[in-house]
Amino acid sequence: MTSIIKVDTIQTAAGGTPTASSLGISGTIGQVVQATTTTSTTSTSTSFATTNFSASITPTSTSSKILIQCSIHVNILNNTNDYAEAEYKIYRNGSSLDSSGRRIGGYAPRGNGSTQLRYTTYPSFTLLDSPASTSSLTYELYFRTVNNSNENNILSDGSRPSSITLMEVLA
Amino acid sequence: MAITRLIAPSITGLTIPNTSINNASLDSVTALPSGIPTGKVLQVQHGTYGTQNSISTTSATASGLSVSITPTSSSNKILVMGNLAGCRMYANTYMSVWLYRQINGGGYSSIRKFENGFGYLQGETETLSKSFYYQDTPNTTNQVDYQIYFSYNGSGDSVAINIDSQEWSTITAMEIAS
Repeated sequence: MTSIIKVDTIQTAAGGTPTASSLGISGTIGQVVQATTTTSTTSTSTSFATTNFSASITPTSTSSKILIQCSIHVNILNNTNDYAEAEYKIYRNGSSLDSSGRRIGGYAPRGNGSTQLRYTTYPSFTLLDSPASTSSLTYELYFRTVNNSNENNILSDGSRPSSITLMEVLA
Repeated sequence: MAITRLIAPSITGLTIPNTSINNASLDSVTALPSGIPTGKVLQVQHGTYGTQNSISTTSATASGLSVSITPTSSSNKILVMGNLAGCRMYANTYMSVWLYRQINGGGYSSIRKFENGFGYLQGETETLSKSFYYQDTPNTTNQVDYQIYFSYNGSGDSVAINIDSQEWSTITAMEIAS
C-alpha cells in the first residue's frame, strides 16, 4: 500500500514561514560543498595574500551557520637558512573572518643548523561562521610568510590536493 | 521529536485540524522504519579558544579548548574534531595531547591520547598546529563536555598553545544518528 502526502507549503500554526528551529531540525546539515585543488600557489609576501583557492555556498536562511573545514597540503621553504614561518587565514567575500586579525594556524618549523629548510605538512582547520546572509558566499584561503622574502610558502604543489569543505548548519 | 505515522492510500485536499493531532498517542513508536537512514548529522556545536596557555608540567593539563553537546539519543555517536593552533615546543621539548570528556559535570577523564611526542626537534624551537578527529559513543543523553588536555615533555623550558594569543584553536562536536 502506497501513501502519498503532497503539499506546496508548510507554515507555522500562525501562518508564518517556519525556521529550522520551529521544524525541530535545528543543528542539522542542510548542504555540503567541497572544492579541491592541486594547483601550486606560491607566496613570498609577508602580507596576507590569496591562494586563489576557494569554495562557495549560498545559505538557505540568514540564521544558518557555515562550518568550514580546510585540509591543505603545505610546503614551507627557506633557501638561505634553517628557519621559516607561515600563517593562514580564511576570508569570506574578501574580508577576514575574524576582524581582530586572528589566524587559523601558523607553522614555524626549524632545521637543525643547515642552510636550507624544506618542511611539508598537511594541516586541517575547522571554523564556524555566522554570515547572516542568503547570498552566495565565497570562502578563500589566504596565507603569508612571516619573516622575509627568503621564505616560500607553497599551497599544494601541482599534485598533492588541498580541500575546503563548507557545510550549512541549519538554525 | 515526535514521530507521526499515517496509513492511507492517499490524502488529497484535506486539512487536519491541530486539535486532531495528539503526539502523546505516538509514544509507543520506539524505532524508525528501516528506510530512514542512520548516519545523519543531528546537531553541530563549536568552541574556540585564543588565549596563550603555557605549561611546564608533565601532567595532563586542561587547555581551555572545549565544547559541550547534549545527545538526543544514548545510541548516537559524537564526532569530535578540531585544531590546536600555535603549539610552541621550545628546544628539546615535545607535547602530549589528549581528548578528555566529562558527562553531566561528573569530572573529566581521558578518552583518547592523540600525541605523545608532538613537535620534538633536537635543539630547536618549533611552532605547529595539531589537528585531531575522534568518534565517541558516550551512551548518554546528559550534557557531554569535551576538552583538549596537553602536557610538557623533554628537557627544555616549556610548551604552549596559542603562543601569540593571535590564533584560534577550534573544536567541533557533531551528533551522528545511529
